[in-house]
Amino acid sequence: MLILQNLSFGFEKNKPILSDISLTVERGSFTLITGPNGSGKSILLKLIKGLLKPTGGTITLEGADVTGQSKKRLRAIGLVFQDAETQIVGQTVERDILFGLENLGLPLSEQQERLDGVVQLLDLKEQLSQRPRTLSGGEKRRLSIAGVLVMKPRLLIMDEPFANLDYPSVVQVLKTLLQLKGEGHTIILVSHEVEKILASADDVIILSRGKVVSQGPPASVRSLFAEHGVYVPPDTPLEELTWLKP
Amino acid sequence: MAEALIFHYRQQKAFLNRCNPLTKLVCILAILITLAKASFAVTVLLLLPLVLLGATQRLPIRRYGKELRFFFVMTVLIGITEYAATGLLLSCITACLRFLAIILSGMLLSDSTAPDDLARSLGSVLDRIPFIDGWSVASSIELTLSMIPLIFDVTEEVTTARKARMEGNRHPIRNIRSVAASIFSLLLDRSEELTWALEARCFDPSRPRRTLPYTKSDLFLVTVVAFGLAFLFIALPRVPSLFYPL
Repeated sequence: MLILQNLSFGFEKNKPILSDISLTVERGSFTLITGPNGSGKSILLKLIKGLLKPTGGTITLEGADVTGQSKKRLRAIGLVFQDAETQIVGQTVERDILFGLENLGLPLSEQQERLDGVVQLLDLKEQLSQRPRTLSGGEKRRLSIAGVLVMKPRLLIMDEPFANLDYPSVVQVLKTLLQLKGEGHTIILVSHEVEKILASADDVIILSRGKVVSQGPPASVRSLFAEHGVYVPPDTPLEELTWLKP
Repeated sequence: MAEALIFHYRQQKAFLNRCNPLTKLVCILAILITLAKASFAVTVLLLLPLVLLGATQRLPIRRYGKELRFFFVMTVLIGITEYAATGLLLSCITACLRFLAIILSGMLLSDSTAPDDLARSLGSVLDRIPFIDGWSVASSIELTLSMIPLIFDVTEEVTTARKARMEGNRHPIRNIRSVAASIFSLLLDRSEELTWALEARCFDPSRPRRTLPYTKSDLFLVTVVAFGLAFLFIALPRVPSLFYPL
C-alpha cells in the first residue's frame, strides 16, 4: 500500500536527518516503527503525511507516485500527532471532529453520519459539547484519533499514542487501535514503548540515526531492539508484550 | 486546573450565544464608536447594558483574576495619564470606564463567539466585495483571534515555569526581556504546531463555509442597540453636556 524508496530529508544541506529510508507497508497491516529518541521517527511521519517535503527518494501510495503531491497525501493519510493537544483546533469536541469534514466540503448529512459513527466508535458521546481543554489525557487522545479517523483516511499514522497516558488510558487507546485494525484499517504506529503493543504488530521497523536498520515480523527483529536502544522486558513471551491483558 | 480563561469561547445556552456573530460585532462596534466621544454620563449609560449582558452571559470574572490584573494595571495607567493631561477627575474616571467597556465588549464577544463562527459570518459578507477574497480575509481574522487566548496561555505557562524555578525580581528589566523572549519563542512554536494541525486536516482559508442563520435574538439585539443609540443621539442636541464637543 505504501512504499518508500530511498527517502531522505534534512533541514540543512549535508546534514541529513533521514537518509535512504526504504520500507513497505501492506494494506490492512499494523506496522510498528520504533527507535531511540532522535532517530527521526516523527520527521518520517510528517514526510509521509505531506507536512514536510523530502529532499530525495519517492513515496508510492496504492501504486501511484505521490512524492510531489503533498495535497493528495494530506487527504489520503491521517496523522495523529504525538501531543494530542496541539492537534485539537475546535472550540468543542463536536466542532473539532467536524473541522476536517468541513474542510473536505462534505454535505451536512454525511458530516452528521460520520460524526455519529466516530463518536460511537471512540465513546465520545458524553463529551460532545465539552471544551477539549477540560478533557482527560485519554479523552484528548481519543478525540485526536476521532478528528483524523472521521476523514476516513486510507492510511492511519499515530505518533507516540501512549505518551503521557496512565494505565487505563493506554488500555483504552490500545482497544481502539485493535478495533480499528479489526475493521481493516492500515495503521502505522510510532512508539518506543514496544512492550505495550508489540504482540499486536504485524510488522516492525527499527529506525536508528535516520536509517532503517531492520524490518520484519516482531519475532524476527526482537533480538535487535536492545542493540538499538529500545527496551523490551527480557524473557517475556512475545504474546505477553501488550498492556491489553485478558 | 482552572479552565476559565479570558477571551476563550464557552459553549452555553445564553442570549449572546444565540446571536449571529456579525450582529454582535456590528452592535459592539456601534457602541464602541459612540463611546469614543461619550461624556461620563453616556459612558455609564453604555457600560450598564454591557454589564447586564455580562451577567446574562455568566462571565466567570473571579476565575479570570490573574489575567484581569493586567487590564487593571492598564486601567490605572490610563487613569493617571488622563488626569495628568487634563487635570480633571471626571475625565480620568470616564477614560477608565471607557477602557473597561472596551475590555468587557471583547470578553462578551469572545466568550459567546467561536472564532470559526465569526469567520463564517464575516466571510460571507466580505466575499461580496469585488476584488476581495472575503473568505481568506475572514480566515485571517479567525486565526488572529485564535492567537489571543494562545498568548495568554503561553504567558501563563512561561510565568508559572519561571516561578517554579524560584526566579527572583532582582533585575526586573532583565527579567522582562527574558520573559518576553521566552513567550515569543514558545508562541512561535505553538504557531508552527497550529499550522501543521490545520494543514494536516486539509484546512483551506479561501474555502467558502456554511454560513450561520439569523434568529429572533439578533432582531432583539439590533433593535435594542439601535433604539438605545438613537435615543442618545436624539438627546445630544437637547443635553449637549452628554457628549464632549466634537
